[in-house]
Amino acid sequence: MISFKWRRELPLHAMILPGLVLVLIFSYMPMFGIVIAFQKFTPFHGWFGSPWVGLKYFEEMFNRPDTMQVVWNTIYIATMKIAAGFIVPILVALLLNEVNRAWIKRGIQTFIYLPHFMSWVILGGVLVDILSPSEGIVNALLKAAGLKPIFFLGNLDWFPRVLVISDVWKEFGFNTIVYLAAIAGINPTLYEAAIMDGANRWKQTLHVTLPGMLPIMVLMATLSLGNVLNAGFEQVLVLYSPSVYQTGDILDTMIYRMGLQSFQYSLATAIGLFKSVVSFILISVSYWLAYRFANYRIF
Amino acid sequence: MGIKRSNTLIACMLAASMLLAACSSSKAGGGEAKPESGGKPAEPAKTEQNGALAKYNPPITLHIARSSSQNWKYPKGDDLNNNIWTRAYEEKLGIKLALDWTAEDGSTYDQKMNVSIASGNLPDLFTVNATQLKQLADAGQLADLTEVYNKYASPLTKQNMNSDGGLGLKSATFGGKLLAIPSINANIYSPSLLWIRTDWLKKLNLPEPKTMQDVYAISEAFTNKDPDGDGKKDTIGLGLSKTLLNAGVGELNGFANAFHAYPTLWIKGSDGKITYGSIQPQMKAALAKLQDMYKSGQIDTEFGVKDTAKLGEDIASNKLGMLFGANWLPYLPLIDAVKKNPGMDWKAYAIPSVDNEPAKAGVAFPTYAYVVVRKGYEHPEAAVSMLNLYQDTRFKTPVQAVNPFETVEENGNRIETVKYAVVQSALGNDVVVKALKLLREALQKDDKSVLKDALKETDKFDPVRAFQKNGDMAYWSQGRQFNAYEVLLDNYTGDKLLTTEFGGRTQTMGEKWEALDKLEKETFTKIIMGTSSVDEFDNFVATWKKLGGDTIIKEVNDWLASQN
Repeated sequence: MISFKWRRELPLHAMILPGLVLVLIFSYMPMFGIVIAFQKFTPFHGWFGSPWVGLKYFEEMFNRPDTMQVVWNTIYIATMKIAAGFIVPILVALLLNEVNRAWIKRGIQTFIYLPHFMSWVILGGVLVDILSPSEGIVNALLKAAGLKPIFFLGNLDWFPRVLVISDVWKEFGFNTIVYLAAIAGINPTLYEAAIMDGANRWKQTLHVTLPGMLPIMVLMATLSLGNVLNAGFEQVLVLYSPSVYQTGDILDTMIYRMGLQSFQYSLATAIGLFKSVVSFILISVSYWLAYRFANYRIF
Repeated sequence: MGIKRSNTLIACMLAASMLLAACSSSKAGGGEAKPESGGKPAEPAKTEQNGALAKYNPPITLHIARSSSQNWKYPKGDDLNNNIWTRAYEEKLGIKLALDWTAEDGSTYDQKMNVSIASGNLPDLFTVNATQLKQLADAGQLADLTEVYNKYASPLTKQNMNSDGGLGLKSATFGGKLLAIPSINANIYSPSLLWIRTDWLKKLNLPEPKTMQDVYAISEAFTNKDPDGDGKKDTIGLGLSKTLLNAGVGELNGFANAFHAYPTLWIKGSDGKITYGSIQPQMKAALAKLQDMYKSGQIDTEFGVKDTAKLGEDIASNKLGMLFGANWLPYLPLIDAVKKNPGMDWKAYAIPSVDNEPAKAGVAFPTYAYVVVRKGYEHPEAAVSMLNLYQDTRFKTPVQAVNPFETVEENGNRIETVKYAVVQSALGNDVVVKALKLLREALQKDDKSVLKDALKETDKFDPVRAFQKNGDMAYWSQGRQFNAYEVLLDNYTGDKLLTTEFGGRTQTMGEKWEALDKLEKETFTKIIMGTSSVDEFDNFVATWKKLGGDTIIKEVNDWLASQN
């Protein structure tokens, strides 16, 4: 009997193979490249010919005066993005859910989803223009309101905020759709029961809609925690400038300048490895917390 | 779902290069042995009576990698793989080109070349920058061109390759071996000049600048006296781009030169040792003055995010009347602004000095591209042969006014064909200064025949003459660039032109330069914007030295000492 079941399910199991092979090739094999973080790596000598230097490049990384600042920037920007990127779509989805006319709802849904498809290279140019203190529309509004113009992209305090706000603006449409789908999946009888119990819209939202969305919310939050050290490479690269290095330079841009512009493969890999290890720890902790407090398991 | 996008991107790139490195390291090892173990030495190329190489018969196939651009135009029917140069290589030299890969000129090409170098998957002949050259030379991946160059380079080639005082060839020589063909350039073209909007000068009754005091006065007046006459205070005194250094348009270099500071250059200090220009006290003085100007609104508060294209827009919309930039500014971006605003006019001036000592112009190393041949390729002499062809086609006197190998006219459009050449090397200062002097003489005498010995700039005679005699605005760019040439000739020949002492890249530079460069750009930008005090410069110098700067200075000195 067992062998029959096994044979019947074999083709289904085989379907996982291509994915598995791709994961092996693109996610696991490159991990061997980590060794170059411990070598004085030169491409011609390869992994086997380059001399071992132990933790030299890790020491060097911490000897750089800006490393801790860059790590802090990365965590700060990424955390703000995760937090804002978590809350905004939920609010928007709840509000959209209250819209009665389907065409308005769908129209807004499509409209907020659009920026998701645009490249940061294009949006970067647009942002530089609309945030300009002298000519940009944002500062024109500030001036009209009697406020002082702000140099958003050149101000140390504002630059990370601009990163967070513009990232949320670009990406919240996608998650909103996910939450709307979750809301659509809630059993209508629950609402009927709530109405029978005398619940108004607010109470229904609080006691039916939100609990119904909770599993998806926890899933999305846990998944997004994997980004805790990903502060958005392309976005920062197109928007930053030397005047905001202090608060705007992140690990990825540092690795980019080092690895692809100055050939410091070993140091870049060391920093990348450091980033991965820290990410791993943070994800493990957050996963454990999600399990502990929301009783949610992905695996 | 947007999980780990950028992370994956970088991981993939590194992974890809690692994989390639792993796959091909064995291949490279095997490939190297082949020509030698074959027992048959590379077929000796026949020479013609003049010593130059004969045509390969049967033709050889040369695998190349080269930069190109989406913006390049080709005559009808031609493309990157089939054009006047590739046909000449095949018909005249018997060299068939096989393009392994190409990438957009500039950083894209450099990065792709880095990956190619990292993977060990090298074409037969390709162009690299100084850093890549050093890397390849250290790894012993390049063919020694000493012998083939000495044997096959034509007299014209040798003359022109040495017309920069031998700087280029010296930089391509490692341990007595010539490992690359340097692309010679004249850095007499490089100084950062002071460009001023002369119609505003006249309007505000200001004298042409002789001293830096005049420059400050002009900047102040351009900011506050409403030069565009629209009744609004919307103009700035001095244009700066976010790149700050070596940007070509709106750069800091010329301003710093006025203070006898030479940022990003390796210069001789008072003790005779080579040191770094950006960390000298003169630089601090220049930055302090810029900070003052920024505070008083004479520098755009937004310069930190404005690239050179945005600066061009400011010029076209009458916001800006003065900036430091290269001699070619009339072509880009000024001509667009002049076309849009009738009456606008610009002129180049020599950099004034803050004191009695005249300012020198600090310029970068004239050679920044090198053609190399991979080690083990059977016909390294092909590179020299292609260089000879290039020199013969372009620089044989009298230079052709209309040369299809340089530009072609098609349907009223000028198409630049010289870009397609694979091995290029232009002319050094000696030859160029001579040509510029002849051009000036020819214009003064109104006699074109004076130009018969000039190797360059002969095509400028007619346009400049049309501009000078008839005020033909169609030739405004050429006319104003000629004014800039005169400024260069009168001020920046001989020891007034301060070329950096060092154009390569040392060991520690490879490891630390990114951090030092970041520190420098950040500090300069912040001091100008006033977010750091001027005294922050002293901290910068101390940190710079501590972070590896001292070691690099020592290495540069050792490197230069070993060459003498």
